[in-house]
Amino acid sequence: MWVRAVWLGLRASAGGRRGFSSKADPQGSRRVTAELIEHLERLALVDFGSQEAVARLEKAIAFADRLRAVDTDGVEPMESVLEDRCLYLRSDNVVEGNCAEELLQNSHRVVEEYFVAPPGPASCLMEEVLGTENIREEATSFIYVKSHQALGSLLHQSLLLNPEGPQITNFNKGHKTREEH
Amino acid sequence: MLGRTLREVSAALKQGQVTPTELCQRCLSLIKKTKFLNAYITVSEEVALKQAAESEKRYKKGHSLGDLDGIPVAVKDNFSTAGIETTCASNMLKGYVPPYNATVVQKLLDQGALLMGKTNLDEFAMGSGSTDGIFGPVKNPWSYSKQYREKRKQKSHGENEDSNWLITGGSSGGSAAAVSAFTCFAALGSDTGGSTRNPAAHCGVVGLKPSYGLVSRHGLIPLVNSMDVPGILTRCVDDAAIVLGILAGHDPKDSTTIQDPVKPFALPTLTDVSKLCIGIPKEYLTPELSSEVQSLWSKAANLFESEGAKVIEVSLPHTSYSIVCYHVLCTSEVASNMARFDGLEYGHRCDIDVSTEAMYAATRREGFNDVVRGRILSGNFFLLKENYENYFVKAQKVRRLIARDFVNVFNSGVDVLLTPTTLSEAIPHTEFIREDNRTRSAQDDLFTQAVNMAGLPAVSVPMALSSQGLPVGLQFIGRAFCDQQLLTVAKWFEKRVQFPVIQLQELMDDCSSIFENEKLASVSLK
Repeated sequence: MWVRAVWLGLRASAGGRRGFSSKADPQGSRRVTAELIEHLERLALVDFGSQEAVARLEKAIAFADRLRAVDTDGVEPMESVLEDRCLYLRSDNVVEGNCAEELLQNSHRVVEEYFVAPPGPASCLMEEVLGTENIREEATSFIYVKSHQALGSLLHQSLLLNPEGPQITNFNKGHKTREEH
Repeated sequence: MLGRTLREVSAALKQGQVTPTELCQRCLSLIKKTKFLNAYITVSEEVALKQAAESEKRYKKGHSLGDLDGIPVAVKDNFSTAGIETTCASNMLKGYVPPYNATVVQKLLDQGALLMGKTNLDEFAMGSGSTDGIFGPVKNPWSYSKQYREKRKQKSHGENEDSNWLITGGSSGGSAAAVSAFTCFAALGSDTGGSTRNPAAHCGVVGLKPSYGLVSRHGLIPLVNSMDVPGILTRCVDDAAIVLGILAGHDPKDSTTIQDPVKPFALPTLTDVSKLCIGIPKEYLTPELSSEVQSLWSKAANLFESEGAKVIEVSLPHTSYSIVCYHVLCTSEVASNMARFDGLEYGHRCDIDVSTEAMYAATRREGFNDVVRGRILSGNFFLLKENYENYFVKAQKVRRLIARDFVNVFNSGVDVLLTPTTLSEAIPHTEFIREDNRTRSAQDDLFTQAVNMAGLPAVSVPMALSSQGLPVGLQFIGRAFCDQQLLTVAKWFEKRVQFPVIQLQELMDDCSSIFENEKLASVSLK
């Protein structure tokens, strides 16, 4: 039952995601179009929820536009105020750990030492991972994420199929766990 | 006893005038009594009493751990505390119990400090009023002070006093209120754009933002990694120095802490300021600045001048773009930082199980308030491929110009800059909420956020009461890693201005038993 689907990333799901974008005010700023709203909502994984929120973004953009007036020709971007100092890197030794149980206690759904996520983002994704014949069955299943780093940054996720990477296993709903098999 | 400074009460503990348990119990009763201020989200009574008992044992054996042993402290609820709920005033982290202590919290505990509880804030420290968290707004203790009430009586009669309570400023408003209302002797805040200094100014306490890299951020739930700094709130400059001395230093768990050895922070008492050069940035004289704050600011400059210091007008030419630059960098880093909250490993999780994506979206919809969602969306806009260069990188370039402005001023011989901390004194909550969070933050962080972009140390010191009877604080800004020099100047100023003690006797009426056992009346509540 172990499926080597690794790192189920975010993927732009096909089709309209929410009704809100279609209601976007055509009078809104020329910048914040319905497409942009939808795009941002998908990237940010939060929704605007109201026309006021869209207006707020427009104001925020207008505010930021004031920076255009600053002459920055030949100026290097500054990422950190400590740029002139060496970044401290500690030696690569394990100094703490063995706290999986403690960490798992803060999760709402776990099975054994796994965090439990609902099925992947889109059925087409499932198709790539599992093959067409398994879709119907697997679409109702849950994904078990082992690495606690696996879903670190939503901003940079992509679909990877790497058997050496962090493990994600896929069980049918209600299936027995590994030990019980 | 509770009205004393940290240093004074530390001396009283050492001399046996009070035991840690007594002190702890007094603070706990006062916390209960002042519950309506909403300064605390969690009161860790059991933990504090246990720590007090241990501290008491140490004192009995004569093995006290130092100045902080047995001293009640409070910690803003965005610092991780092992076994104690850490919420960031957000539904997203309601019920979250960290498995570890933030380095700064651990350092306080290692010194024997008693953790009274976790203090209230704007959700994820995003705000300048301490009004936008899920536990409701923090009320400024000065709303209930004799000084303010008397002034109000003279002005208006008909208005309902209780509905006119004042905001604390933010986002570390709970910590500022906790220190101001005598429920603890020092508190940790965090400071990304002014979140420690702003409420300190409004609540009449000292608020220190140390140099970036001096104090560990490990365990501070991040807002803007390149600007966040743990802040210190105390009732006097010496106390802030004591706490900074304990917190400062390299942390292997935070690669952005510098490795230079930290010297002890005992502040010398400055008697001669004639060798000092104080810079007054002319761009900080904005039209929005209240005339009263402006006049206190020039009074302070005159004070230095009359004592022989060199006071010169300086220019920080990019000041007017600073808040805009901060806005872009802040939202961009927020967009990235908030990505960690997905409902899987910790924090809130919605009931929707249709797909991973739907679960993420619904979880974040339920978990974040409008302000947080708004900043995440703006940040994502600035980080879009087509906008990255024009907004994010542009802001990083402007950031360099702002940092360079400060370097130029300090290279020209200025030791410390003197500026207002806030535009005016604290305003009533009803007035504050007329503007949205973004507008308020842009106004309220005006004088404070540039310091974060440049990584400099800055401290807000209460100077005087306004005509309304409310505290006004001024800000001193120092050279990077010259925190001690900065505090030395601040201490001199503090001694000169003699800021009045808050008079909360009406608030304390039923609390009189707490103060009955006063042995030394020197700094007690009058």
